[in-house]
Amino acid sequence: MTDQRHTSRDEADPTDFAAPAADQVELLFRSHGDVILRYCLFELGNLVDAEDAVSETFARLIRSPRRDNGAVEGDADRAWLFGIARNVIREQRRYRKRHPTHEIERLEDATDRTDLTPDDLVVQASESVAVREALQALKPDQREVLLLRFVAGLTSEEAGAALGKRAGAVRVQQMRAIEALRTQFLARGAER
Amino acid sequence: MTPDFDDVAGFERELANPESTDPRVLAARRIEAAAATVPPVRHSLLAEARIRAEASPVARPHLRHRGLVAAAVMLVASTGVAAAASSAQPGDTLWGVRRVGQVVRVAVTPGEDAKARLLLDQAEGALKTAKTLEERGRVDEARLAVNLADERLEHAREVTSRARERQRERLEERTERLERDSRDQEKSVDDRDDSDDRDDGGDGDEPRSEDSGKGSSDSGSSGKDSSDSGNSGEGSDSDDD
Repeated sequence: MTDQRHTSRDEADPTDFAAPAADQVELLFRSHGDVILRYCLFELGNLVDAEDAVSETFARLIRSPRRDNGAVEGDADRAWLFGIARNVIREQRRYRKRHPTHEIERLEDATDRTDLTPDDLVVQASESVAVREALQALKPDQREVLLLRFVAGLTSEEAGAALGKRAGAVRVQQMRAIEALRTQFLARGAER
Repeated sequence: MTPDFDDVAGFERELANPESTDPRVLAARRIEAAAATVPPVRHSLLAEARIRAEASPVARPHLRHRGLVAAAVMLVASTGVAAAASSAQPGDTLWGVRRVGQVVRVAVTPGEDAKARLLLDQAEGALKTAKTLEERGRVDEARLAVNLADERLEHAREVTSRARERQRERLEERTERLERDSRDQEKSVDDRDDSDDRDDGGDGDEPRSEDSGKGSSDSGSSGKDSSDSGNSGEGSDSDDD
């Protein structure tokens, strides 16, 4: 009762790193929210699921104590956040496999909230869709490493921390993955 | 021109080179370019996350109703909330989303007791949110949260009183039916008493067995009625009459 560490989340000391303070979460959202959304969208393929995953990721961030994954070279918070996002995505993918959505949800995509002209959108969307489809054809762990590196922009060290792997393993895997992606591009006649 | 990229470290180095023409690096750049076309994240997702976190502080996410939640979110999104969000208070969209989600959850919960419990949990969560928001000086949003709590409580009260009402109706129905049965039984006993008086010593065996047969079937049916005193009460009553 009198133990300070057992105060509820609402009254928690903002310096208590076990429960991220409100402004800390706000800060993480502002600096990484966009990129988390990209990552989720590239994994899940539609904006509805992606936004759902973003909100769930930050919900877990708020209620879960910070996992101490040791000294991460680079941004440890970012690596941690993407580690959570990755779990959320995996659960959602599993869920989607059992409960496929209607096509209409999938049409609901990047056409929302943008100031680009329809022409821009079409060109951009077709290239973006081509890349996403090629990525979807990869093995999940290969896709994952590419997304963390090139969609999320994590370093190999950070990606390793998010995946629970060593940075060296990430580097080797990303090489294979990028080769597999090129093969996909070629097979689809989408190599530039 | 093209360096040897079998070397992992070489690939890393080349990635850092903005002028690189290596096809693998170009493939990576295409991913980056495609990622850059994704619109910025809506800030209301953070508020949604806060509510999720408060709604179930420990438990796993509501993955089972994810489809419904997604549908609810779509529903709200498709009713022009994007436009409203830019002009209205910051919490508006979010509270709409939340309300729909909660209503859906209550709707899919079977049983009135469970419904009432869920509603009370939701009210409790909303109150907690209101407290937190107030402490952070976000008065408008705190007020929205309090309103939501009130709404949930009102709903809970409705559900509870409906449950109580139904319970009362069932008990009353059963009481009435048993009263009727009791009257019938009394009458039938009286009748037999009369007939026993009249036919005393005569060929009383026939009517007696007939009567007792009727009596037992009556009590059988009344017993059944009172045991499943649920929905078909009115119907069986009118049959009796």
